[in-house]
Amino acid sequence: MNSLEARNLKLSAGQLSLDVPHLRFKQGKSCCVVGRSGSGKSLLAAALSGLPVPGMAMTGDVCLNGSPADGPLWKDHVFVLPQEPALALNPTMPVGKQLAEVFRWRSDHACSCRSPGAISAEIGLDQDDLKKIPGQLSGGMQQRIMIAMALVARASFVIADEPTKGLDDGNKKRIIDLFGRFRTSGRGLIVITHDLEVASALADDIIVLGDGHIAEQGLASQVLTNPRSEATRELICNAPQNWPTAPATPQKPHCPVVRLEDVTFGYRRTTPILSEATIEIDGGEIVGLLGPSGSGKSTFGDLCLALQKPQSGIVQWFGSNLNSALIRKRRTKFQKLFQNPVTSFPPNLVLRDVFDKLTPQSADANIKDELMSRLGLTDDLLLRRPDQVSGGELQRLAIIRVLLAQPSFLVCDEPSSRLDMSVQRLAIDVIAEYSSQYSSAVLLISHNETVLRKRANRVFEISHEGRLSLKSYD
Amino acid sequence: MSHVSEARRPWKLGIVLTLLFVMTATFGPLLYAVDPNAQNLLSVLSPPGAQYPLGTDQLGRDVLARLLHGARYSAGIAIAVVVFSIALGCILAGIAQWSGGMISTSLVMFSDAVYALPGLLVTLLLADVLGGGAMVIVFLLWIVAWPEYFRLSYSVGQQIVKSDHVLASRLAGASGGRIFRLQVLPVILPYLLSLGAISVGRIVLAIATLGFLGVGIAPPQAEWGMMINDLRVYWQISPIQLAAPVIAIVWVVLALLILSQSMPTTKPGLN
Repeated sequence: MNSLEARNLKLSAGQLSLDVPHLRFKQGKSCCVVGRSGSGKSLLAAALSGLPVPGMAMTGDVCLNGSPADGPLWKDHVFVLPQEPALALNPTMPVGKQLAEVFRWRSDHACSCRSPGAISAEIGLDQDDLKKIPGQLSGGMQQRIMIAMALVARASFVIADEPTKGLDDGNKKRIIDLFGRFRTSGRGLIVITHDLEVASALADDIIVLGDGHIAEQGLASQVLTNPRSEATRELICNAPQNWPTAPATPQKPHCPVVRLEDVTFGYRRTTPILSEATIEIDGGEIVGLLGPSGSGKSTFGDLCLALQKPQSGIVQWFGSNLNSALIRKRRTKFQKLFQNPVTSFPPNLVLRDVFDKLTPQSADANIKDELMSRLGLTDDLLLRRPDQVSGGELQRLAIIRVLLAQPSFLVCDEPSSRLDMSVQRLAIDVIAEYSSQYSSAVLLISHNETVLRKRANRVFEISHEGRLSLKSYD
Repeated sequence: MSHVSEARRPWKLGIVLTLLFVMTATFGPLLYAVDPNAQNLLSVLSPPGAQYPLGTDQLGRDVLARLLHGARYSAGIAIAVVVFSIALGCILAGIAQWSGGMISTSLVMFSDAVYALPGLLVTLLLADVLGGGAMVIVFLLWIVAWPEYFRLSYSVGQQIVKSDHVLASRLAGASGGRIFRLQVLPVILPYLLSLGAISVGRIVLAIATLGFLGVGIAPPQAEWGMMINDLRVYWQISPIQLAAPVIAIVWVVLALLILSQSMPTTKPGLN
């Protein structure tokens, strides 16, 4: 039975640091490392696998079976599932071939499945999928290919860094099921996540990291039900299922900001991704939109924002049909908060330039300062470029940027689904507050049903056939 | 992009090389006031010495004087062509990206059609019709050179125009011109300048070809491409005279290339 040990590890990279006096991982057990973003989870993964991140400094030992490892462990003993499977796979090579390479160079002789075909059936992909290049597969499928590689590879430990990042509930469940196989095949599993649902489904043991040290560790059932440290309590209280329900909004006069009637849209004429959708969104109302990935949730948002033209049907803003003059006049009042904050800021500009030159200047100069302090941001952040601030900070800045336009209608396209729950909660709460204060309408797109149930007044669902239906919760 | 590579960019070297060239082309002929076309058949192909610092060519003309006078023509015309082409290509690509639809398609098709023509032949034909002269040559090389820059700015610009951050700025009400100036141009300009720097050398040779065929800048006007062509048969006897214009072309291309590579694509932020 192999074991992986960290002794007196001191890790640091940039502003992050992590101090690990002693940790021990056993084969056949699964262990989840949880913590807020910036708590050093990925540093730990980098140290254990011997794949240092740029600018990382490390002292201390990583031991295999009690003796310090000679050479990096990723070669023979640890398989790493990196954060973004899309970046880990070769974009120009069919995934089946990439899988075959693992068979050829790194196969585990104890593995019972002998061909890429057999393993792909196991992970739920067919032969045609294996002929595709990564760009033609969904995020969930790419992650499953990576898991297949880990299943056949010779390694006693598998380290997965945020394996369910950006995946919808269905895909998340599949990944969790597949991870069970690592345990049955006798490997040790180390999962880094900020999602407590994943942790409670997978983990035997849980390690909670908080601000550069180990805040708590123990059996999963104990840590999650009976937390002893502040960091754990904070994580648990920020998990969507534990959010306090938003106070019921008082009934407001009926004044639809956006109205869609029998709207049909498809990128190809034969297969509409949205068919005959009818919806009215009132000012001051938060409408949730749910649906599996690829079901056209973002397209629905774009139709509401007049960024796409429907093939048939009517879109109205403030009760009048859309035309180019109306769009030009009201453009800045219909805003969108993007899924990924990194792509929503120009990479070449200092943030202050974005706010000074590419953001509507509101009459009240204090609004920006108020929002900045409300969201816990300082002015010196504005002197940096987007790549010099963290994802959480950037998403908060993106929220400030859209709110400065004082929109009457705001589409939030999975805001911060890639960030940790505390930022996500703060983001949604600030937007909800704004919406009730200025009676503006919000369309909240998410694949996380719990979030929508807690925050939206009404929740709609898009099915795979493109039908929009109201969900009722009783 | 890491900060190390940004700091290591030899932008000072690029500026020094470029400045030296500009100074030489501007003031060189004034300081070294020797007639570049004066022949001295008694000292044909004489090696560098006190009287002729870089020696003489096959007609006994002072190579240094010709080199200095040629700088204005060869490099001047080439740089003018590149600058005009970048401007036209960039503007048309901007129009194509912004308007989309039919306008975009027809602009792309038009540029492909021009690109498909054998540039030098077209220039040759039209130069013959329009008559030679520096201005005509600049104009003709310009109208065959711009599609390259159009294609590059179109494809690089396409990724930027489709990006979330441009959409975010459009939703925020920023004008097309402002987005172009702040978000698009700073990213594509380094690409265009690199391509431009490399093609300066090619254009110098194209000018020489035209001169050799008797259209464009006619002999005996000093001009680098023509100098190389004249001296190339005497390379064993007078290697230095031949090397001088070659090194001059390499110098200009290198100076512009280093300068274009060291253009900052991003504004510096705090660390």
